[in-house]
Amino acid sequence: MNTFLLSITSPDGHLLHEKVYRLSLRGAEGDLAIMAGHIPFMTTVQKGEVRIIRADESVLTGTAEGGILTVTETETVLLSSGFCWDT
Amino acid sequence: MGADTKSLRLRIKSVDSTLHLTKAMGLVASSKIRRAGDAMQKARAYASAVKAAVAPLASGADAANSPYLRTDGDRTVLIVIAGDRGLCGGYNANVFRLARQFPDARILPIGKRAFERFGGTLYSSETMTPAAGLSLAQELCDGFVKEEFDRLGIIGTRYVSMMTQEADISWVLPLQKPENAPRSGMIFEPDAMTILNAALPEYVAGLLMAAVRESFASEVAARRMAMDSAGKNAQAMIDELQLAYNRARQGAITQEITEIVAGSGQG
Repeated sequence: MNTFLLSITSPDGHLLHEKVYRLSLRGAEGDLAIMAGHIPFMTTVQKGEVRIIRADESVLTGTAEGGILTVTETETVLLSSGFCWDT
Repeated sequence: MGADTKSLRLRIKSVDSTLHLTKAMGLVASSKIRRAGDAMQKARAYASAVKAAVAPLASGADAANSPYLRTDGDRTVLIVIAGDRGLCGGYNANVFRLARQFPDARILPIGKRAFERFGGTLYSSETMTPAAGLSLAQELCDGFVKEEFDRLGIIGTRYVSMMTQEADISWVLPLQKPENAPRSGMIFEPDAMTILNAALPEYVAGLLMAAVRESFASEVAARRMAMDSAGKNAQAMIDELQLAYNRARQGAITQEITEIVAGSGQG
């Protein structure tokens, strides 16, 4: 299973910094999913659910109030000043 | 032994209660330093990540028409970050001194001391949340786009070390076009300018929260230093007064003995 490095950062610090299998969220033009080997890409993030499938196949979900998603060859970064994990 | 020793005793008591107060405030500041330092590091990391994300957007030719890059006019809005309390040495005074260099600027205060000086909406410099920062940033970005003002700056305090903090101004808007920001064939959805315009409130909020957290860490460090030095001064003053009190007491006793001896000699 190919993984990629995902960082979720808010003013409260790094909320996640690990290798994951898949990231799904709502981008500027609709729902999208990022997997390993995605082309360099940038979009704004709409308010909604963020779903992460980790390398061990467990699932993490959270809610973003908005933000910026940047995909580079080395790392995928989700910046959001309003992000919280679902409990 | 009379009025002199009594007044000295009262002064010693008064300085001693000041010493207790400075010790208590110093201890409170010490307990907050670690938490404030952690919050500062996290907010700094977020601000530099947002800066890095915005750089490739602002550097492109397609962003040249963004309203956030206009550089005309000089109507200034300044966010002034001071403390919620005093007793922190020159921390608040240094910030206000810097703000005085911009007499025509509209001031948005953060911190109770700044609010008392400039009026407006009260935001606590200690407990301001990222959500409040984002809402203020959104408001400011809307104002900048509507050309209500032409530049936005933040006056806060830069944390150099536990011993040194410096009042500092950083300009946030208009956005500076970075040189040589890497874009490396990145795809923008829907396009770079739309993302830039949508991301700017996050960018301003990131810089604002970093400045607020850094200023609070500076305030706590400044208060600890101020209370430490006030405590030392109070202790030195108590030692001096105690010496004067002992001398006065000794003098009074000596005089009393002399009077008794003189009295018994006459008898």
